[in-house]
Amino acid sequence: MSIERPSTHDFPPEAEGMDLVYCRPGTLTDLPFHYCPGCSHSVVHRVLMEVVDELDIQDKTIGVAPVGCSVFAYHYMNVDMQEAAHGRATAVATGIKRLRSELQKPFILLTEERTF
Amino acid sequence: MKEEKNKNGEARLMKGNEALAEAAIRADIDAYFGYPITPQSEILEYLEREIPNRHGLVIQAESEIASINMIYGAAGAGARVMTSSSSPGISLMQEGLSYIASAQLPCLVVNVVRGGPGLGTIQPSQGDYFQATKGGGHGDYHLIVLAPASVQEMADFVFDGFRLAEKYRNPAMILTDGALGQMMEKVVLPEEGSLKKVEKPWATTGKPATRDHNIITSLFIQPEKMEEVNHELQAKYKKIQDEVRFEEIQIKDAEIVLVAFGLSSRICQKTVDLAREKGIKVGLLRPITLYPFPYQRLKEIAEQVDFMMSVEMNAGQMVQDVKLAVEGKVPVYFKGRMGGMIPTPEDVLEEIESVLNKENVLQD
Repeated sequence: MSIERPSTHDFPPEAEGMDLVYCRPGTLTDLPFHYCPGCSHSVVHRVLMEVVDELDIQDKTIGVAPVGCSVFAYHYMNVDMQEAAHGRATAVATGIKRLRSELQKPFILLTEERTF
Repeated sequence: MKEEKNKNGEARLMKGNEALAEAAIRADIDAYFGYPITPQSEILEYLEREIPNRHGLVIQAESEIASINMIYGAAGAGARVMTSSSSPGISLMQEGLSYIASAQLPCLVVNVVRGGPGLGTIQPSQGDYFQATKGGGHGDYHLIVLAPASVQEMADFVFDGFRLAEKYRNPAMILTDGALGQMMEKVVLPEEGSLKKVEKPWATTGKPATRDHNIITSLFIQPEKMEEVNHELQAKYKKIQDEVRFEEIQIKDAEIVLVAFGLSSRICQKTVDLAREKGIKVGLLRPITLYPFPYQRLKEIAEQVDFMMSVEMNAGQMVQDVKLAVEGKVPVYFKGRMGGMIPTPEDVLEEIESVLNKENVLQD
């Protein structure tokens, strides 16, 4: 069972003709994570971007980054993103999401508020 | 009352807060996120009543802090947004305003100032001048500050505020007070839809394949980058000085010039009349933009006058800027009332006369 190769990734020549069964989601940028080994940030970033890929909503997703280790989430996620103040990510997300509902475009928001 | 339509819009008798709210709808705002507080709750209430029948979004947030962060989010997403509050609520918004200025987002914030400090009173005051013009939030940033002095200007400055905010990608503030918010005057409302939308390619609208992802942030953790951003902001504020606006009343032959904004300027207009009747040549300079402040014009006026007097409803805030402007050339006096009290035109005239008398005494 093969999955589609993301256009953003380079595959080595040896991979020619092989079935791709798993890879880094296309919407994760190439930047290596700085998170500590064992930290769930890395896993959650990947899972969220896998969802964005699977549902094909990269152009409909706007992320809100919190304060904390994942303050640079926008360097890892290739979607439009905003940086929120400490504890205010929900409000920032409301400002974006409710607006979009009015303009009749379904936007899905990712908020990682992990500092509280 | 028969309403007349003219080229610019309708003439109505309206309360300041409501005229401002109506102007916001006519300015095609995408959203208003606010929280009630006396003396400006009518802005939220008017929009909650009208917006469902017109266009846009209105949300009462859970607090002023939430309001300003919703503004940040929506402005970052490219929307034309406004919030409003009064002094204690505006204090809560200061962190948000610093973020908005640093991320270079346009928005309009209305401060209907009430007596303070603290929970204070609901009566009008001008005690937030420092907070508005010197930056109430942290860091080297400025708000573009407009000070209306009539219900007409409460409406007009919504358009001007958005125009400036979007031109410079900077938050703008309308610094008004409880009296202007509550009083009723004739207003010719601006024409609906006449404030053109501005292209915002930097906004987070959802990343299409055709561009890189947009990031809205005020975090620049490398100091070299942070310094660069600060240089950018300072260059912008330098350009903004060209937007200075003020009104001159009987300045030409004035020997004494009053400097006052907002409600105080309305009082001083009457003082000028009373003084002139007595043969005292008083004029009035009314700053319309408090940031940028008319330093240059005041410096010029200092060449022709005996003294200036700043008239404010606070303990003496704008007077410092007047003193800076004249660079010691002439004495600058101050007349004020605090805590929500409003001076009368006669009070101000009395102050002018007592200065004149003291001066005569000194010359003996």
